[in-house]
Parts: sequence; C-alpha cells; structure tokens
Amino acid sequence: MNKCPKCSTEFSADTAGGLCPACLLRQGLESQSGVTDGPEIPTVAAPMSARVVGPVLPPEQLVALLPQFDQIELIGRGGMGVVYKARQKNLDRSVALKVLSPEVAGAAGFSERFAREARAMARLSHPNIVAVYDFGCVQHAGADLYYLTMEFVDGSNLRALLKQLSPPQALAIVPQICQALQFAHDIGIVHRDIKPENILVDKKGPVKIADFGVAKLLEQARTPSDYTLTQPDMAMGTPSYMAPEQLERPMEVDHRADLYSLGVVFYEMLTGQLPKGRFLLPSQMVQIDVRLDEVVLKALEHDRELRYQHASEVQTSVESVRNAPRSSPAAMPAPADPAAAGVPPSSAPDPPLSAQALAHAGELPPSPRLSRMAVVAPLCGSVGLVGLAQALRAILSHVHQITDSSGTHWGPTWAIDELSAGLILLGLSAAGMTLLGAIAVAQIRRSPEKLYGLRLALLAVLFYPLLLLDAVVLAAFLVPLLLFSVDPAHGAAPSTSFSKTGVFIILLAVAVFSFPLDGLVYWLLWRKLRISKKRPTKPMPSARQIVSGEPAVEASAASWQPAFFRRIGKPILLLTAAIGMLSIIAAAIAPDNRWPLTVMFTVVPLSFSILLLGFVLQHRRDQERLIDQAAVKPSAPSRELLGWAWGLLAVLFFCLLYHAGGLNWQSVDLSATLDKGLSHPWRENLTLGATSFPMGGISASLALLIGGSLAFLHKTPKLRATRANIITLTSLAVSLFLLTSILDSPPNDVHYNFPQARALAERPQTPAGYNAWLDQIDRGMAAISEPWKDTIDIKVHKEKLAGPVIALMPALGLVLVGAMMYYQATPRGKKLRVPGVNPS
Amino acid sequence: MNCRPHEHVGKDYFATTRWTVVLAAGTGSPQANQALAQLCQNYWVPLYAYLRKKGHKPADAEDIVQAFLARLIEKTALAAADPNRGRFRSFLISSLQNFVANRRDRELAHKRGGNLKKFSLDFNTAEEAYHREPWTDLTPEKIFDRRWAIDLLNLVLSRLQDEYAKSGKSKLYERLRPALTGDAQGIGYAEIASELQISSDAIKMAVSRMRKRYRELLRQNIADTVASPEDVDDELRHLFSALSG
Repeated sequence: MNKCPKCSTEFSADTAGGLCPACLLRQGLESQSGVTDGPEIPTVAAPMSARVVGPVLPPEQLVALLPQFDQIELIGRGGMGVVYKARQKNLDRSVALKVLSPEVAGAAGFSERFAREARAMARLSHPNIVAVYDFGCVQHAGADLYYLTMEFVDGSNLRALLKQLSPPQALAIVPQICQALQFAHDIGIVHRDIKPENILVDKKGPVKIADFGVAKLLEQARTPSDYTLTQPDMAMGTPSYMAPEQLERPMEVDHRADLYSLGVVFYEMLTGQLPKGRFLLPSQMVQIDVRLDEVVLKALEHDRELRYQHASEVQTSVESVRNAPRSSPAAMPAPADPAAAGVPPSSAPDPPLSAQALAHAGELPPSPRLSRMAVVAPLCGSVGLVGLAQALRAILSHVHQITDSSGTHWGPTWAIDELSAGLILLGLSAAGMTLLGAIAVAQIRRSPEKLYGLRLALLAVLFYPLLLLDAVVLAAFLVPLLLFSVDPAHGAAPSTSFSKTGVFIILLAVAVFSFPLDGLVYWLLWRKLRISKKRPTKPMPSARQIVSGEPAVEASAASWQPAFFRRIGKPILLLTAAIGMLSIIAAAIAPDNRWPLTVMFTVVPLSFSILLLGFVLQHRRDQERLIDQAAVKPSAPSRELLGWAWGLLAVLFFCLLYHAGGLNWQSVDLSATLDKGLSHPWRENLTLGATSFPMGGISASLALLIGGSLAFLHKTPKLRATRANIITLTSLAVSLFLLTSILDSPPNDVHYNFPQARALAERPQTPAGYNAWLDQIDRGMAAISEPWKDTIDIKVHKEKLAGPVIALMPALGLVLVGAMMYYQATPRGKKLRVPGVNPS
Repeated sequence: MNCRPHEHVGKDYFATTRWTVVLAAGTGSPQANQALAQLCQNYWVPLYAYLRKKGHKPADAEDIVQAFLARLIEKTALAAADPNRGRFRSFLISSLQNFVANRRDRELAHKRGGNLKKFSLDFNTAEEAYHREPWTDLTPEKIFDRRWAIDLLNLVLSRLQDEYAKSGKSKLYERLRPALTGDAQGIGYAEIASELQISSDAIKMAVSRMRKRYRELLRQNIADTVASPEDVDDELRHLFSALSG
C-alpha cells in the first residue's frame, strides 16, 4: 500500500504504474488553469464556482442566537462564511457580522486559534483596515458557530468597481492599500488573501481592506491533504491572486506574498484582466505611464527577493508616477542609460533594454502600444531625404543655370540627374533607412516578448544590402573612371555626361554620404554584438518568465540599445524633415521644377514608409497572437537560415535586375550600330537608356531593402503570412511600376553614348552651341544607309520594350519573392492551425 | 484568454471519439459496434469491481459482466442512451444496474455464462486488483468510479509508454515517469541527465514534453467516453473527486 507524499491519497503499489492516481488526474486538470507547464509550478484547480460552504442561517434565526444584534440582513456569502449587516443594539451602530462556516470551524483546536487570530486582528487599527470589533462563538444545532463583528463599510468591494475604474482612480486606490498593508506588516500580520473582493471602497472615499488573517485561520483549519485534495473545486484562497510561494510552500509565506497579490490586483485594476500566462504590459493595453509597467512587474516578480520588499515601496513608486508627469525629470529615477547621463555610450555597459529606459531617454514616445516612432520616423526621414535631394538639385540648377533665348533652362545635367536622383537617393535613403530601421527595431524590442533571431535579422536587413549597394555604386563609377583615364575615347562610360569631374563628384558623394553613415551603423552593430558576447547584460525577462519564474533566457540581442540613435536620432530627423519641407517648397516654385521627379521622390519614400509600417504591424500582430496562446515556439534555426537564403536570393535577383535595367542594356547593343549614324527614334531610346540608370539603381536599392526586410519578417516567429505583408508588397510593386512609368515618359534631355557623338567634342554648355550640336547629330542620323535602317527599326521596336520591361521586372520580382515568402511561412501539407484558436 | 478549455481535445477530434460514434450511429453499425467493443474492453474492470463490492461472488460477477457486455453489444440496449447527456461511464453503470435488476427474470433462460463468452477478459487479474485496492469502506458506486479512474490512468500510461517505446525512449520514459504526477522533487534531474548522458535542460524539456503528451492522452481518452468536449473537464473532476474523496 502506498501513500502519496504530496496528497496523501492511498493507493496500491501497482496502480497506475506506482504513481499516485489522484496526482496524475490532477495533471489533466492543471492544463486548464492557463499556467504553462513549467515543472516548478504546482497549480491549484481553479475554483469552479463560488460554492457556498455550510448552511446559510436565515437572519431571524441569527437574531435568536445573537441577541445583542437586530436588523440583521444577509449581504454576502463566500467560501469562508456568510456576512450579514446588523445593528449592534447597545451602541446603535451598524456592524458587519461574519459567521464562519461550520465546516471550517469544525477543525480541532480551532477555537484557540480563532481567539488568537481575532486578537491579532483587533490590533489592526488603521483607517484603511476594516476594524474588528468583537468575536465569539455560540451553539447552534449542536455545533459551534463562530462569528466576528466588524466595522460596516458602506460602499462596495473593488470587484464591483473593477470594470468602471479608470487608471487615475486605480492610482489613487493603490497607495491606500499599501498603507494598510504596511501597517499590518509592521506588526507582523500578513493578509494572505488580497483580492478585489477583500478591498472595500467606502462611499465616503477611504479604501479598506477586509478579512485580515482570516485566510490564515482557514488555512490552518485544513490539514495539508485537505488543502489540495478534499475540496478541489472550492475557493480556498484565490489561486489567481496568490503568490507563487503561497502555492508552493504555504508554510513559508511572509508579507511579500501580499505584495504579489497587490500586484495582481493592481494589474487587474489597470487592465481589467488577470496577469496570466504571457500577459501584456499594462501600458500595452491601456494608455498609462509606462513606468507603471515596472511597478507592476516588480510586484509580480516570481522570486520574492526580487519583489518589492515593503508595501511602502510600492506606495512610493506609484505616488511618484502619480504626482510627476512623465515628462518631468524629477519623477525619473537616476538615469538608466549612460547617454542620458551625458556619459559617452562606450564608457559604460549598456543596461538592459527596457521600456522604462527607453521612455526615460525622452527621445521616444512613451506609449509602446503601437510603435509610433517606427512609423513616424521613416516618414520624417523620407521627407528629409527627398528634400535634401531636391535642395541639392535646386541649388545646382541655380548655380549653373543657363537660359537660352527661348526661355528654356539648361543646367549641368550630370549634376542634377546623377547626383540628386541617383546618388542621393541611393546612398542617403539606404543610410537613412538603416538609421530608421535600427530605431524601429529598438522599438520592437520594447514589446514584452523576445524577438528571436534579432541579430541575424539586423544583419540581413541592414548590413548585407547596404554593403552590396555601396559596392555596386562604387563599381559602377570607379571602373569607367579608370577606363576613361586610360583611354579617353573609351565608350563604356555609365553616363553620357561622363567626365572626370562628374565621376569624381559621384564618388565623393558616395564617400561623403554613404560610407560614413554605413560605417557608423556597421561599427555600432559590430560593437554591440561583440560587447554582448563578452559581457552579457541581464535581459529583460519576458512576461511569461516573470510568471513562471524561469530564468530569463540570455539573449545577446537584448543588449542592442541604440543609445546613439536615441541621442541624435530625433534632432537629425527633425532637421532633415525641416530641410525637406523647405526644399520641396523651393523646388515647387523653382523655374525648372520637374514634377515627375518630385512625384518620384515622394512615391519612393512613401513606399519605404509603408514597408516599415507593414513590418511593424506585422510584428505586433504576431506578438499579440503569440501572447494570446500559451505555447510559443521560436522559429527553428533552419528557418532562420532559409530566411537568410531568401534574402540573399532576393539581393542577387535584384542585382541582376539592376544590371539589366541599367545602361549596359543599350550600350552593348548600340555601340556597333550607332557608328553608322542615328535615326531619330533612337534618341528616345538612348535617353531611356540614360535615365534608366538611376532608376535601375533605385529599383535595386528598393529591392535590396525589401529582400532584407522580407528575410527579417520571415524570421519573426510567424504563424502565417499576414495581409500586412501582401499589402506592403503590392503597394511597393505598384509604386515601382508608377515610378518607372514616369521615368519612361518623354525625355527632357538627350544623352549620347557613342564614339561619333563624342567625336563631336564635349557637349556645349551654351544653348546655341548645344542646338548646333544636336543638329549635327541629326544630320548624321539622316545619313544612315538603307540596309542599316531596317535593322535599326527592328531594334528600335525591341528597345522600346525596355521601359515597360524594366518597370515590370522589379514588380514581378517582388511578387515572386512575396509568393516565396508566403509559401515558406506556411507549413506544407496541412492547413495552418494554431493550437487553441481553431475555428469552431 | 489563455484558458482554452478544449485545447487538447479539439472539435475535430470530437467528431470521432468512440462514444460519440456510438451515440451517433446507434447499435448495429459496424463502426459503432467496434467502438463500443473497444470501450468495453478498456473499462470492464470497474464493472467487475462494482459487482464484487455489491456482494456477487467472483464467478457470478464474471458471468454478469460477460453477459452484460455481450448483450450491450448485440442488443439494442443503446437505444436507452440519451445522446444529449450521455457519458459512457454513467451509461455503463446504470445499464449494468438495470441489467442486474432484470437479470433475475432471465436467469433461468440463460445458462450461466453459456455461449456468451465472446470477450476475452482476464478476470483473475481483475479479482486480484480488486483485493489489492485499499477501498474497503466504500460504496460499490464509488468503487466503480475509482476503478474506472485507475483503469483510465493505466490505459493512458500504457499508451504513453508505447509511444516512448516506439521511438526507442523506453529508458527515458521509465526514469521520467515519476514526474508525471507533477512532483518535480521526486526525481533528480542531474542524476538522470548523467545517466542518460544528456543535458539537464534537455531533461527538463523532456519532462515538459512528456507531461504535455500525457495530458493530451488523458484528455483524449476521457473524450472517448463523453459526448461533448465540455464534459471532459467535468468528467475529469468527477474522477478526481472519486479518487480523493
């Protein structure tokens, strides 16, 4: 015969393989309680219903038993007894009369303990504690009937108010509870059953805690086996509000258990929900100060050593939040990060990234509900970039502007088109996106759940495409420059307005704009990653870890904290946005404004913004979904690798596109035929070839970012590819298509890239010389011999397709990549099913 | 929001639990008969224990169980089962009670046992088990419920064991099995880890997996005997209180 050490059930040794059958069955029940199946948490079956224990004595009978009272009326009943309102005759005052259930009171030695506890309770004289007036015992139907008389609180309990409570009201209630608890704790009394039902709110205002010590009395009345077994469905204490140690080691409970319960009540007051499983931070559910998150989390620490140690501390924290608006520096504790303290970020270890630290930096909006910064930042940044490009263009046009007799404005086209359109966008937008992406990622980090594969994602999104872009840009200009230096007659220049100065300026721009920013980002990234390897900082535990007491998983990515960005990010963004706005206005009123370019510069950043918005939303949605269900699995390493591979593939694919959409297309085919001269239709194609270069570059840069971002998206623990993905991709494809169509519009400049044209010497910079130069070329084209013309016509037809093809290919590519990602994110062979949320 | 009552027993599973098949098809259809036979095979021992406690001699109890089961399968006893509130357990016990009450009338018509022995039931083991259990002071109904709970657990555990054996993890199962009761202190992770030469984290993971699977199996097997997913928890609580009360 065996006896279970845990629940003292007797069972035969060969029953259920020698295991206690009662404990085994309870395991089945426990899966219901919403607690994750960590081995450390014994859970108690949740109360099925508020079962009334014992008979309810009608008031008339009670009047007979307790003659000192009259006007007895029943006001409530619960697990531990029945509560009546009564009038104490001799003092003519209302009292609450609590008659303990005979079942509870029947235990041996109860009467002594009851007397002892009641005396202890009577010592609790505090405005926020329901006073105990008297206690006693009467005989009724052969059994002892224990009762307590207490102060009658004319109001209602917190449970009834919970739904209508606003956060400020909650903040007003909590300190009062704290005061009461601190008072009781100071004289060594632990409540043990803090819950909304026990917190009474008087109509006149004060908040009072009821039933001090009653829980202890009831616990002692039960034998250990009673505790877990005989009444599995009875509310004995309230598991949802009980501290972990109260469930695990009921005999070792101290005052800190009350603080845990207080944390639960606080959470419930703020959010209306219990902090079960992977709960959201309060500030994610309601609009409150994020500092309250810290208070709640600290009160809910699994380990009581990490919890608040005194109720007064909770009170201080809450009151500091309550009294000091979040913008006030006085309310903030000592700066959590070195940047805020004015210390260079490199000289101190980075603190763990927390909502509090971020909020205190004062740079980011305090509500992490939706990562607004991640949305606003790219918008501002993009506008800034547009403006910068426009400003440069406007300035250059103004400086070198030449007006001919017909009023047409001519400027140094190489500077305008290549520098403003191609390079600024290519270099700066990539760098800007890097910056903004980092901020966005930092924002995403604020969500309570750990983001898996963050490091790889960062690399994929930021590192790889940028490096490639720089390499491409450099190669595209450096190689022709070298060739041209060797042989000035060499025709392989990427730009028709090719000159040593032009290329130099382009290279300079790359070096000035792109490299430092990229380099900075890489350096920061590298430093963060390396530091985190050497000196792991304490990661912010996830909510589930807090609840279950699991040690927080060490995540080196968690130490990613862009202190630098927080310091300079906002000023930079504001500055660029301001410049952008001004220069857009300037460009709009400038005489040579070319609206298609303006549109282009607007569409592109917009699509960037949509992309970012998309992935922020996507991530949030995934987060919520994951939090919603208990079990979360990070994406497997193989999936991360796949994400990498897809990203790489996308990059390569679009490099190919870049190549195809660039100048080479034309120059290869044309160089042979153009020697013979030009027919008129060729001009357009040549122009197309020339202007499609920046466009090819833009497509490529966009595509690279998309590829990287998709890889990033893919690696979030994803349950399904959401609509956000599709919408993002579609909008990008459409905007790209529009963009390229605009660029394919009739040329506003003519570029030549063949030896004959170059033989006509450098393009004249005066309008008169320029027109003569054009005429000369026209004459050359007219002189094309007959057989060539046929060939050329055919070719012209083919070449004209280049525009739409160039426009379509990135779009197609995007759709293709999108489809691949979608496919990849969907488990094959079965329908997507999320445990627990299956459609019913 | 975390509390999803039927997490382990989804609706799709429920469409095909044995008892729902029986209830839906009624007797006569081959699937229903097969499902019912399987259920009876799993849960006949509680009937025996009940009868024994009722005061029937072992031989009588044997005969009654055999006859009862045979009749259950062959005849239209199931017509009495109300699909709306039927649980296999309560159906079985009330059917048996009716059967015993009516049996006297038919006792003459049927020879003892007779040709009805179509179930191969190991009554010796059942008799031994009956004597081993410490429940001397309980009512027959209580005995029935307890025996039922234990048979259910045995069934679940043996399935779990089979699953582990199939994937070649019998040893792991044997070592980790004590953790199924939720009692983590009983087993030394470190010791097991060194014995099986895997990390103690892996052990923890294995324990968690095993518990999860165990729960699934438990709930699934209970689901096999009730008519709707809502009843699983209720049945579980009932059995739990039967064991502990």
